[in-house]
Amino acid sequence: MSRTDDRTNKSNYSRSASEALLWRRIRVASVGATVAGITVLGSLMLSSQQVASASTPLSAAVVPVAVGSDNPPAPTASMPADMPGMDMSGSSPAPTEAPMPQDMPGMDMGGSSPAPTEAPMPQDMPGMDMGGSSHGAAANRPLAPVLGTFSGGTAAVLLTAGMLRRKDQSADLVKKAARISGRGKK
Amino acid sequence: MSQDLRPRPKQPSRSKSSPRLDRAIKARTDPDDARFDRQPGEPLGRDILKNRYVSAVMRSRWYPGAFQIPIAAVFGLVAYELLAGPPDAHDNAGTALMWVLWWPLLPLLYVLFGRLWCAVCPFAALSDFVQKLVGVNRPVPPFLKKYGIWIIDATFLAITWADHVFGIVESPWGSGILLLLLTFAVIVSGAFFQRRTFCRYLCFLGGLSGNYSRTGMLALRADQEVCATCTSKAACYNGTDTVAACPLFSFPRTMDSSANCNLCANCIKACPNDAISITVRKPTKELWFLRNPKIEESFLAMAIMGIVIIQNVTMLPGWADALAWMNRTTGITSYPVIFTAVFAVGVSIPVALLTLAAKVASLGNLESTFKNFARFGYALIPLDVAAHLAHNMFHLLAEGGSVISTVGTLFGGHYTGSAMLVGNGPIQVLQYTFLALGLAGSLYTLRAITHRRYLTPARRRFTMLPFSVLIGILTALNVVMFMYPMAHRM
Repeated sequence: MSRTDDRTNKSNYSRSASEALLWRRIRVASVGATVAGITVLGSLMLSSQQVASASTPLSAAVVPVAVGSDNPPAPTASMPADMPGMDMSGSSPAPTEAPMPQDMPGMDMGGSSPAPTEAPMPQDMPGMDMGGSSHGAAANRPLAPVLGTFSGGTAAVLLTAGMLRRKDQSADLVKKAARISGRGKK
Repeated sequence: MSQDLRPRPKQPSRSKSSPRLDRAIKARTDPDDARFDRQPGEPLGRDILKNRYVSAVMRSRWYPGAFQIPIAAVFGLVAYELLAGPPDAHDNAGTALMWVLWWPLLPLLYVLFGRLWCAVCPFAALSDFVQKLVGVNRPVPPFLKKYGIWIIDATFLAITWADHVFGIVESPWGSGILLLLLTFAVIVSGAFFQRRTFCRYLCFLGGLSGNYSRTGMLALRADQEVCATCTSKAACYNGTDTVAACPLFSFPRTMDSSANCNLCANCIKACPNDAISITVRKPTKELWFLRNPKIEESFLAMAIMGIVIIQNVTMLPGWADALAWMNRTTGITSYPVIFTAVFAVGVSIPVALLTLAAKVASLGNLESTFKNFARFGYALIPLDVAAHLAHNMFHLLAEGGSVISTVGTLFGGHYTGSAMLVGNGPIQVLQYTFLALGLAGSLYTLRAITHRRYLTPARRRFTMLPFSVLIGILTALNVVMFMYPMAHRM
C-alpha cells in the first residue's frame, strides 16, 4: 500500500470516526436534554397541579351532596341572595329546641334502648375497602419529588452510561487506528 | 446395612483434571452414581415449530415486539394510574390490573407457557431500549453470577414483608413506588451490563418464574447431534448481525432446563441449521429428569411456600384475633414488629421442615443433608405452584369484578355488580382441585427423582418416606387454610 493510499484511508477513517462520535454526542445530548426537560417540566406541572388542587375550594355545583348530609350546599354566584322565601344570610338565629314531653305517645325516651346489633356486612360490598390500611398512606402523595428524583436519577444513569460508551468507543477507535497504521507501516 | 447402603467415598471435584483424580472417579464404588450419570436426559416431545403458523410467528421479525408494544402501553396506563390515579385501591384501575388480574394469572402462564411472559415483559423491552441507546455492555459481575439467586430470594422476601408493613398491594402509591424502583433498577442494569442481566440475575419475578417454568408445558431444546456439527460459532448464543444474542445467557446446545429460557425465539432465528425445537410436554416433567440441583432454588421454592402460607394466614378471619392475642401476651403494640416475627416464623417453617426431612432421608440414602435439601426441594415445586395458584384464584375470582369496574370507569363506563365473579363454593372447589393436582405432581416428581437417583429399593424407601410426609403436611396445612373464608383486598 502506498503512502498516499494510507493517508487517504486514514483520513476517511478518521472522518467517519469523528462523524460517529459527533452523532453519538448529539444523541446523548438530546436524550439528556429530553430527560432533563421532562423532569423539570413534569415536576413543575405536577407541583402546580398540587398547589392548584390544594388552593381551589371545591365548588358545590360540581360536588354532589351526600344524602342525609348535615351541611347544606354553599350558595353559588348564580343564586340571587334575595331570592324570595330564602334566607341566604349567615346570621339567622339558631333554632331553639322546644322541650319535648317525656311521655309522648309512641316514643320511648328511656335510656334502656337495646344496643344496636351489628348486621353482618358482605365482604364484596361495592365501595368498601376491606383491606383497611391504605387510606392514610394514599392521602398525601409526594408525586413531584418522587418523580423528580426518579427522573433525575435516570438521567444521571443514562448520561453516565452514554459517556462511558463514548469513552469505550473512542478507545476502540484508537486501537483500530493503531492497528491499521501498524499494518500500513509493515 | 446392605451392600448398597455403605458410605460412599467423597466424590472428587471435576473442575481439576489429573490422572489421579480420573482414576479415583473411575474407581468409585457407589453403583448409583455411575448409573445416574448414564441416565438419559428428558425425552423431547412433539415439536410445535413443525406447525407452519407457529413457526411463522416465532421466526417473524415482529415477534416478540408485536406483543411487547400493547403490553408496554397497558403497563404505562397501570403506572400512571398507580402514581396519579385515585388514591384508594378500591377505585384504582392500576391496582386492579396489577394485583387482581396480572399477578394471579402469572403462575398459570408459567405452567402453560413456561417463561414466555419474560419475553413480552415491558421491563425487558425497556432494558433492551436503554441498551441500544446508551448501553456500555459490561460483563455480568461475578458476584451476581454466584449469588444472583440468593439476591432474588432476599428481594422476594423483602417485597412481601414490605407489602404487609408499608402496604404495597393495598396502596396504589406503594405499588407505584415499587414499579418506579424496579424501572430504575432495569435502567441501571440495561445501561451498564450485557443483555438482560436484570432479568436473569436480579428480577425477583425472574427467580419465581425460573422455578415455576420447570413445571411448564413448553420446552425449547436444541438437537445435540446437529449442534455437534455446527460451524456458526454459537450463533444461537451470540446472535448474528440481524438477530440479538440470547438475552438470558442460555446456550441451547447444553440447556437442559427451561428456567432460563423465555422463548424469545432469538436462537430459532439465528440457528443456521434449524436445530432448535419447541416441544410440548407434561407439566412438571422437567423436574423428573433433574440433574444439577441448586440449594438456592430449593430454598426459593420453600420460601415461596412460606410466603403463600403467610399470605393466607393474614387473610383469615382469625388474624385480627391473633394480633390482639399477641399484643396482650407480649405487650408489643407495633404491627411491623409483630408481623416481622410472624413472617420470619412463617417462612422458616417450610425451610425447617425440608431440612428435617433431608436430615432424616440422609440417614437412609447416605447422602448429605445439604444434597438432599437441594435435590428434593424441587419435588415440592408442583405443590408450591398449586398452592400459589389456589391462593391467587381467590383474588382473581373473588375480586375480579373490581377490574371490570375500575377499568370501565376509566373509559366512562359504569359497573354496578359485585366484585365477586363467582361464589365462594366454586372458588374452593377450584382451590382444592389445584391442591390435589399439586399433591399428585409433587409425589410423582419425588418418586421420579428418587427412582432415577437410587438403584436399590431400600434407598428409595428411606428417601421417599420423609419427603412424602413433608408433602402431606404442607398440603394439609393449605387445605385447612383454604377451608376458611378470606378477607378481600379490593
